[in-house]
Amino acid sequence: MNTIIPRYEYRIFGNNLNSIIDQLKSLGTFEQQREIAEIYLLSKGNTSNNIKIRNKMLDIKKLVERANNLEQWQPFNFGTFPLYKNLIKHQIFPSLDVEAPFLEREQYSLEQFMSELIVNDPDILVALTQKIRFGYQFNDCICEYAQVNINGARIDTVAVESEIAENVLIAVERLKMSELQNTNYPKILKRVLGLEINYDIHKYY
Amino acid sequence: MATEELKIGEISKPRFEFRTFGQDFDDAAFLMGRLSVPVPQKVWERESEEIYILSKANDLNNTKIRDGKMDIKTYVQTVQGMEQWNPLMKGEFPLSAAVLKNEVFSAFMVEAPVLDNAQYTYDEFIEMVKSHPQLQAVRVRKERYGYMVNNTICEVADVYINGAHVVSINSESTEIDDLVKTVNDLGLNGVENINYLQAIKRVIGWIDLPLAN
Repeated sequence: MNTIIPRYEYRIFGNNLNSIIDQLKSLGTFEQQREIAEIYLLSKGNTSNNIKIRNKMLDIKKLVERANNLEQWQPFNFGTFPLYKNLIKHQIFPSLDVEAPFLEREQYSLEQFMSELIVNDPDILVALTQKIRFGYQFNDCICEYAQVNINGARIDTVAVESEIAENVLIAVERLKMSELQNTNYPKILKRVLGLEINYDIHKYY
Repeated sequence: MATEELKIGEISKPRFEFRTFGQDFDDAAFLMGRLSVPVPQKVWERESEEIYILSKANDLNNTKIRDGKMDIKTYVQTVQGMEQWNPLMKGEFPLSAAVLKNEVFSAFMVEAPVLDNAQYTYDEFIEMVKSHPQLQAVRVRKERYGYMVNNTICEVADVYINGAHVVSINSESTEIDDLVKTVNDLGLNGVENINYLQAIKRVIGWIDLPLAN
């Protein structure tokens, strides 16, 4: 398992982030555009692990701390499928906060993992995402805006990341992002999939 | 046989519907705007906030709450790819225990919880939904733009399902032939007919199928 230095992150989601995106375009330095497909694994109980599969590789970002309205995440790369059952049982399912089923195989391909262990588990939800990401550098931070399709429905995101919290805080202020709530990927995915919902009745009268 | 002239916003006999969901229907929306006859100003643009109640046990009844009123439609049949839905019940909160048990939970095709009170408010009903393992409430915001093409009621809509955006385009009519012509004229022939229940279940991950694009 490879580890990387944890980064502080501030991320927002919405349907109309154009003014903030324009600000990022004007202040930041464009680096690259990428299109990627990722599978996120979600559960009601898990709020501190961001679990995703990209290019058959499973990554888990673990929440280290929340401070000054920032979240610090430590990424761990768990390798490429096929993955061994010990890793699945002792790392992946505990990260989901879901009890592991009986694992018959010594190792699982991505297809076996998804079809035999994930999609029929009533405690796990799957979000298929397609992202078009536009990467920028600004204030010594890694920044991006992205169009995210979640099971076919679109939402936009802007994010600022750095190993240095102060840099993120300054960038967030200058990009005028601070009025919108810092929301991580698992949280927004759980909202779209309905695991977290605001039933505010007044909007429906 | 004389066909019934449809009027937007008025009750007619049960309609057939073609609807689909995706990210990009710009070409069809352009054609819809060009082919439409003038429509009443009240349907040019409409916005609404709705709650859909989804049931894992049921794809046949479409239950939504709008303006404090519950509205259930039931699937009747599919003819030439067009779906026919009929109104099943309409009710305003608070709803009686009898209505909840006999009409609402039976439409969800799940067992009703124990209902001790004579009637239930919206909040109490939503609590029942939240605690039921086979039900889920989904927030849907709609911005709808109305048209009339080939005497069918049409719309393009920006739909936000729990905050995430999809585009929906549809045509409704009592007359199948008018509907088939409209779908052709809009260049939507061959596009999957996806109703609201299907689209929402796909977005929230209950059905592993994509939207139309």
